[in-house]
Amino acid sequence: MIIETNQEEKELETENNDRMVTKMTPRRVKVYILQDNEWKDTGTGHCVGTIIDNVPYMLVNNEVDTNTTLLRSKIGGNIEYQRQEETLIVWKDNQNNDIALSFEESVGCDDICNFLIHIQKTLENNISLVAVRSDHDPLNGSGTGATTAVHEMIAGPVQLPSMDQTQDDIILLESLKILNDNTMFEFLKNETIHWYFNSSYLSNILIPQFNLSEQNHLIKNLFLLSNIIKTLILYNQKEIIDQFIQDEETFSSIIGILEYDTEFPDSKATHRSYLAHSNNPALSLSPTCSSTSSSEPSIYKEIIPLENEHLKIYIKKYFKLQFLKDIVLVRFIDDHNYCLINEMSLDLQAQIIDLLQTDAYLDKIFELYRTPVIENDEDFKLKKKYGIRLLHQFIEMTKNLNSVEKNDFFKFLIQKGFYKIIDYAFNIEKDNNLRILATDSLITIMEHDIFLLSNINVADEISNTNTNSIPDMTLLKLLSNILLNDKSPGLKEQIVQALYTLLQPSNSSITGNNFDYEEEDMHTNGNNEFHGNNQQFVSNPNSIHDEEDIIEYLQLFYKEIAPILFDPLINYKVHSSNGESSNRIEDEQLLIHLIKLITFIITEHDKRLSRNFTLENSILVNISRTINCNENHILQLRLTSIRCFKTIICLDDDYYNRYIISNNLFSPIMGLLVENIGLNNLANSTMQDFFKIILINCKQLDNIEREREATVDGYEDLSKTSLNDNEKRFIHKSNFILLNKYMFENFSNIFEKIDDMPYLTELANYK
Amino acid sequence: MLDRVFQQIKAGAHIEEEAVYEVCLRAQELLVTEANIGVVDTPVIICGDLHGQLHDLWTLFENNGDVSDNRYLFLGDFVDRGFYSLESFLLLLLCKLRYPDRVTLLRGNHESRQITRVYGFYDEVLRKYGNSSVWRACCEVFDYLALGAVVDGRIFCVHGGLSPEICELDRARAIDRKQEVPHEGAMCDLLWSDPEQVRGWAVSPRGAGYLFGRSQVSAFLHTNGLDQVARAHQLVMEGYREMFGGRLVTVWSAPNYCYRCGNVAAVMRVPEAGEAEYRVFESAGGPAGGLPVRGGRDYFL
Repeated sequence: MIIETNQEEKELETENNDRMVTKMTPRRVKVYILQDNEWKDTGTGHCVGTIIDNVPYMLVNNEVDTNTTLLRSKIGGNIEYQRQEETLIVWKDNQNNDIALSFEESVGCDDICNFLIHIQKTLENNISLVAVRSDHDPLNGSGTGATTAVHEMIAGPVQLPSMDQTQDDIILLESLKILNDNTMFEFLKNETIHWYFNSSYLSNILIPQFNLSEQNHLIKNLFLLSNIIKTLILYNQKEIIDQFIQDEETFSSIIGILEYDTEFPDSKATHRSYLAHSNNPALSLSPTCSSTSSSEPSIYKEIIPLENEHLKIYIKKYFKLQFLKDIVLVRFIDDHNYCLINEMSLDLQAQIIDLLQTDAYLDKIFELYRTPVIENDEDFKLKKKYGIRLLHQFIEMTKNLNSVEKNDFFKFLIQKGFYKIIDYAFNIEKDNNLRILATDSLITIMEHDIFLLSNINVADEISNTNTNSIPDMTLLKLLSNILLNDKSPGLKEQIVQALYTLLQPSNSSITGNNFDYEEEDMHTNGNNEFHGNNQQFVSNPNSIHDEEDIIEYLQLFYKEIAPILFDPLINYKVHSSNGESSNRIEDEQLLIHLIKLITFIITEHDKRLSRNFTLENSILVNISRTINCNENHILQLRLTSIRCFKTIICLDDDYYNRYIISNNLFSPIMGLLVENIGLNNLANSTMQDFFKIILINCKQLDNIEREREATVDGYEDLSKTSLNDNEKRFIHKSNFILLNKYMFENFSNIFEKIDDMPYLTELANYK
Repeated sequence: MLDRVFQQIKAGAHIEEEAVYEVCLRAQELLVTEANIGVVDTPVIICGDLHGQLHDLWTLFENNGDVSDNRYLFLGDFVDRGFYSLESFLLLLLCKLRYPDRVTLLRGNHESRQITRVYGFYDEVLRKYGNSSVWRACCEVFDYLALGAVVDGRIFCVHGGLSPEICELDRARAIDRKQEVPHEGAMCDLLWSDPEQVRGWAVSPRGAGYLFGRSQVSAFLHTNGLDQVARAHQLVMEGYREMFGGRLVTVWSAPNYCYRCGNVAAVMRVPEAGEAEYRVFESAGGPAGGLPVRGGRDYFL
């Protein structure tokens, strides 16, 4: 089918054209005709487009003798005009002559092209105008200078799918082909989209055809319809996707059509029935709880009636979009679709989060947790369970929003009683999955701004005491206890993550360590896989906190929490002596977590605070012990302990250094070295890296020393009285020299047996 | 337990969180005993990027023989992009646990927290479990994976390529690999670099690792008394591609990459004696209807 313009429009257009023609400025141009494979210059003149008796022409009058015509070329048939670069128009006319017009200025060329576009739209639909540009393709070969011609249709006939009410597979196949072809050029694509909405192709043709074909088991048609929908998705238009998810009926038809997939002709997906029946019977709502009307698919769970219709529509749209992306189209969509859908999701997320804050809905949800559980009210308990998931769902939605939006929403949640839900999840709820979700929600808020949580006085929320100025440790205590006592490894992983966040109170404002992953960048910036795509440091305007506050917070942590949290390391002996084999894996994993946390606080916290704590509680002595082979710890744990010491060495701290040497803490490490002499394994590699760290620092030191000798040659006294910066660093770095001497004094009998560790061999030069 | 998980993967069933943790812990225990650059005997079947295309991994095993009778070396990038990253990775771990001497798993640049957060594995775990703990457990195992291997004293196998910091292969022993893939340095280069027609070491457009040319490959092979570098990391439409007069080969084992690239895949079969042989295979597709929906994702109003 060809676009038909009705007669009235045509006449109107013709008038316009006439006006346009009279307006047209003649443009200076050279006329070439192809003869015997050579372009022959037939003269220079002025070119206009003109319409004579409803027949359009291109006319060039000779500039010397204005009465002679250089060119009078009828515009019609299915001539394809090519605009090459800026100033050239080339075509083969209906008599098979190859003609080229070379304009003096590109404006002239523009004029004539505009004329051709008008003619195509009005009088001669079958002509076309194509722009041809040579494009140097940077991806194509290195320096080969490869150029490719890029064709872009500017105007031309547009084929469109049939609107017949009865369609068989031949017509549908033709429609599919047309829709596919029309993606080739932006022009055809735009025309098609325009037509698609004007003709209501989806509701007038596709959906009725689908229903008919499904009723009559016309499997060929069903596959074709599915491919038509997929092709429409490839048009990557927000409006089209938006139409698909606009209401439940349309959506159901779309996913219904997509259940048929030519790639898997023997099986059919079950999207519609999945939407209609939640697949997890354990989670289905009791009848009293569900207030969703019967026409709606039951995948939506409504804990209490959501009255705000706007909000309801947005949330459902969002879910439909996710369902399309994650399930229905997951194998199909390309990066562009993915980008578009993400963009649309983001819009919806922002709108939902915004509306939630002006609606009373969440108030009602939080109200659930202010009412104590009545023992046998299972329905009420279920509502509370769902509340945790609902909250998690909304917090998840904020993940891609900007930090101001997040901040507002999180503040809102906390004011409304977020902690009530957390408290319920940890203290009353038994289901580990829900507790993990609650932790996840907590982490998301913490990662955004820890002080949002630690500044709300939890105790105040719970017991109405007013001690607002003291940092609150309730949360840390709660998490520490879960880590030490809970059995679920998944929950432990989450809790450790939460602790890291809580114990780096400066992270969101000072160190900028808290990075967020921007999904969109990954697609626009795809050629830089490593850096271009992911980490964007999020500096949070709302979390610039006082150094003093942080110190106060940490002091309290070391006083009240750290002794509990690190108890297994502080009272290490007791733990290892009653090591029952059934709990062994758990105990080992817990120790690994704790040693990593120690490594973390040693590097991240105020040095004095963490050092006092670790040294006073013999934590390093005990960590050193875990490396000892007769303690029977798993190798992963022993190596984790060695890494802890590597980190401490790198701190170049006098106190730690003396402590390590005087307590002979490296002895177990050398024991592990002996076990692995000559072996090629991770333990051996870890030890080589250990020596490498010391060597690199000794070497630097050596270089500085040489520099000093070179500069102060013969003036030793003077150099001692005034230390320059390098020398200060020299003295500072001597920790490494001391450490190295200590090692060679105590363990040289071991080192002598080793000949395959180049870094250790080199270290001997600095003993 | 291992057999049960194996059956679950085969049947496309959901694998309980607890089982994943156990597989991961046992894998750690095994991998911690391995070298950064291991030694592998011939005959061996060398496989490139898999990217979570579980069905194609099954095809790969079908075409090339069961793990019980064959030796396999995987060059990394088990996860991301495809929809079955978790199952693919677990399947490989199960094979490794069952036949430690027959299976070698190298780390790819996608076996990293940072990369999996962006390219699909993290999201997949969230979809399947609703939380990220399983992802964290897998990332811990990533840290223990070997960085390279030498087959039969002849072929250096690595995910990405060479590093200017590692002229003598022995130097790679001094890397404490139990860490997130760093942004620079030897460990990063091994996983990120690409061969290219360049002189010397050139900046990589990927933002990590280097581009290295023919002369780097020659020098490296000469210094270490090797014949060839076998690596993955780059999509090659024909499944494998030799460069630098056959001194380097790229092997790619994810057919129809991302389910739409239309490429074929290949494995490299290195016999005890004689020339290596490439065996090309095509995509097996996947199950209908996209992802199997698991764990019951409900939407709350």
